[in-house]
Amino acid sequence: MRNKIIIAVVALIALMTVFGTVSAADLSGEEIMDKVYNRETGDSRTSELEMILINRHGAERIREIKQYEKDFGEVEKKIMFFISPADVRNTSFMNWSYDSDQSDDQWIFLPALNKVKRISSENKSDYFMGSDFTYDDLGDRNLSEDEHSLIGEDTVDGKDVYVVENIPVAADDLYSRTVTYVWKDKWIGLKKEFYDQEGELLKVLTVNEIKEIDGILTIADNEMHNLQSDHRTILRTSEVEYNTEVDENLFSERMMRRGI
Amino acid sequence: MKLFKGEKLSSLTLIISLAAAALLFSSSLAGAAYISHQITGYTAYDLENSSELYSYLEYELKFEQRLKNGQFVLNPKLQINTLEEELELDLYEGYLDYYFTNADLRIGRQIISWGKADGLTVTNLINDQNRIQRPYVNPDDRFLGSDALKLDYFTENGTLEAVLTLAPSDSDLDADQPGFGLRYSVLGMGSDYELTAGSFPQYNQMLEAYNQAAGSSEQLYRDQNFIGGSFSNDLGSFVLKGEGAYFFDRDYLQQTQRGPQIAENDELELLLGIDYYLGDYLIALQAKKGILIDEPDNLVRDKSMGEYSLLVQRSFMRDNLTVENWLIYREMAELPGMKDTLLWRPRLSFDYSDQITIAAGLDQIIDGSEKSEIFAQIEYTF
Repeated sequence: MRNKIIIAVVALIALMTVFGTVSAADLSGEEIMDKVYNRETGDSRTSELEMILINRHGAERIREIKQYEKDFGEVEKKIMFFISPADVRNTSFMNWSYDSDQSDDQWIFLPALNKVKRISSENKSDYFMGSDFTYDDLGDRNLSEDEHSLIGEDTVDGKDVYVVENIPVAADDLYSRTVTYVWKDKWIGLKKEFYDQEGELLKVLTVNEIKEIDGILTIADNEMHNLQSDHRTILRTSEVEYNTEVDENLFSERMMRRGI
Repeated sequence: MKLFKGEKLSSLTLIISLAAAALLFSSSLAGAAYISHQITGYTAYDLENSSELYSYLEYELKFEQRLKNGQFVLNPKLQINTLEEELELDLYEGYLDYYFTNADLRIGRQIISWGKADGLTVTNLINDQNRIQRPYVNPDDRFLGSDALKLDYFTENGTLEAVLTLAPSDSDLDADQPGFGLRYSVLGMGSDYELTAGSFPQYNQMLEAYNQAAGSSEQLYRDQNFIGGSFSNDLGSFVLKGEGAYFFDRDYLQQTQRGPQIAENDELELLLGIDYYLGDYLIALQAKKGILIDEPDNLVRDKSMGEYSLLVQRSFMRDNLTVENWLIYREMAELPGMKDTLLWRPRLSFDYSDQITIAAGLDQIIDGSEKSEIFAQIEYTF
């Protein structure tokens, strides 16, 4: 009888191990990244961003931004208001991103020109406000813009992660590939490596702090380090609120000109 | 050193009036005021005569006070013209905003920009322009604030804007001849457009020549009565933009047997441009052309007949260093001392820090009668 129990327990453990292994192996890189892209982030979000730019000599520049985002179903709208420093104050940037193949619409309001100017949405590889983040890095990228492969598993700060390689479909992309370290079961990236077109490591994004706000995992502090120029950008997010009432009229020419 | 230029004293009155109005709102203050200061040193040289052309030191205050249903903005400038030895206080902008549910009202001195083009323009006719001959860091820096009332009414799809302006402070138009106009503006999926109509007084260069030829004292400002519009379309790596307007009864100089006369004629002005984003470069091409309707003989346009611009811009060092190269060709009117002009206008701007910006540039006349000038500017913001 005792032997039967031991055999049953061993069989159960073996079965669970096999099942677990099969479960992880079943997920492809595409499926993992699909979970990352489609992780619950609420229908709307307001936040304040502090961007600290640090050059190789340690000199810092600080940018403060107020940001509003809302998903309207077929279109996701985002508007940013630059609060400081004085030379960029009252500049605003608006992006409308569509679920369809329609290109994003982007506008910038420059107080010096007093004009809302449409800009090309193709320049997603431009660096945002002199930081180490491109518009793509800040979230304006779609799942279908890369081919995703699971290349291993690892740990980051003691957390189990999937390691997924992302190769851009477009040959003229800024990066030849990126590698994303995705926290298992949480579906949030904890680290990302960016390789330039020569295949050399260009940048590393590390997450320093994650908070759970309104039940949603939120990156509160992360840092992008450009290893080739030894320039760093720390991006801190605060005053985050999800699913609050964000007026549709906020995403308009009126608010771009008026500011917040 | 002169203390204040006389015609600018109205700025002081306006400042005081706006400050008083703000006090009335003081019970509605929302948050602390935002204040920043800027000190600018600027000098320009005439390259042909190797002489200093224009030089100033300027202090600029930017004051913003948010109210519960509006805001109060004050932006005076105190400038010491070191060559003329003049001290000048001017209000660049100073206005009160009041926000209604579906409308915003702005009253006071303000810059109002219409149109989609950069540098060249067809419909951006509301603000007067600084006629001091000096190179600007940005072409739009030449605009002067207008004392105006602007009401924006917001519909589901766009903005209807009504503007009423007083005559420019240094114009000789009667005070009861204000400018007025309407604009309907839409930002939409893939394209934006504006429909505009108005009548705004603008400086008339031709009349300067007429005055010299005829010895008369015609008003230097004439109303520009127009109906037009503009658009910009996103075409992937390109942004296509355009402006157009039909001008009614524009004033022109006409050579007759009795000598030069002022004649009225209609004109159609068109502008087409394209912004092309190529890697780190922005390449912008614009072409503007004026077409006289049923053009009479011997009519001389008051403005350039055609303008063409090419801009190549690139930013370096994380946008801290920006280099612009403008090439501008102007087909000029057949007026004394004027000829077609080809201008090379390179600009360099370097943000040394968040506080210090250094700019330099050149207005090099490759072909034409104007002067070639070089400038340097340093700004300290705190």
